[in-house]
Amino acid sequence: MTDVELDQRFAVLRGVEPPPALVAATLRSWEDHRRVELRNRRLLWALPPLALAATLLLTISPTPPPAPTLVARGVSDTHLALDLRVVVREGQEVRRYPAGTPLAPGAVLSFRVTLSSPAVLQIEHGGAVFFERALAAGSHDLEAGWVVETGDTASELLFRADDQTLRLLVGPAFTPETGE
Amino acid sequence: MRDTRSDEVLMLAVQSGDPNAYHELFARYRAPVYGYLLRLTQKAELADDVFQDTFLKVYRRRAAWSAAQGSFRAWLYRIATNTSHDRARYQRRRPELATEAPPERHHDQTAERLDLEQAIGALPANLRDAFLLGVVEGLDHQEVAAALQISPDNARARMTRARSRLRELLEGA
Repeated sequence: MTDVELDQRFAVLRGVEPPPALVAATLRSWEDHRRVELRNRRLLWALPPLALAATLLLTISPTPPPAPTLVARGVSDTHLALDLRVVVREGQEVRRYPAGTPLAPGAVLSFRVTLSSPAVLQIEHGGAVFFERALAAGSHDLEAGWVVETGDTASELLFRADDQTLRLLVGPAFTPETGE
Repeated sequence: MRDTRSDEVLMLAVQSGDPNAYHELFARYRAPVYGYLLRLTQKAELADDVFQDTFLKVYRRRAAWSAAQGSFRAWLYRIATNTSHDRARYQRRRPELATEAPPERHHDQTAERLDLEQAIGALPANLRDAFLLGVVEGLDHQEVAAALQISPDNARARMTRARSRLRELLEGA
């Protein structure tokens, strides 16, 4: 049997249609991932106003805006120290964010991370990485943030740098009318 | 109307956020990739998991692809191959999670196809993936090399050895 004859015999095996349930599950997982990405990408537009709001507070008020809450700190085996601080804007109000507390739909969380040495920072939600950036040592106000939508349940954001992982519990969305 | 854009043009559209482009690439490659994974893994349940992971990774890593690196097809099969190997390693480290292979889904196969499938299954893994990509899936040597992250000469050599082994198996059957 020549190579050509052999190859022709095996070429009939090309392509096996996957089961419909697998096709549907694959497209569904892609849609879920895409939805999270689109939501988080919209946050980029929310953050310049937040920075402006913070600046305005600073210039028109004799007291500075509240310092963001330190919500997590870690030191890894590689001696990278990672700090995370979070501020939330709800309407016109900018305040510290106590992790896990319920938030109004439309609330925006912004993050300040401090690294003791250069590292690549990733932020992950539901298994999807929506932010990845190489950062120098020092403090950084991230342009990526998190906006709360109606119906959100409590969820977790993971901040990863080197072998360090910090977990931020983001509280559920509450119904503005009832506050529940 | 059939989408006649090349894979690479579609991938650029995916990178720009076009969901229809992703759907088109998925439609084009779901059968070839699934067939490849079934024969590569020799386990339908594992192939299902790797299939789903592969297409999700294609989307998640879309920013990492560029035409300068080679064809979209080679990049896709590289993801599929690496994901399959990673899963196999994971299952080897955790044998309690390895499940019995479900019954084969293709009960209507002819005797000829069964012989071919069994012959492929009898190949060593490093020859099997090169042969599946180069002959069954129709990739050229450069693409096989890119997908398996080996040199084109090595890809050619593996396919030659695979053909030789398959010839022995089929002619001895």
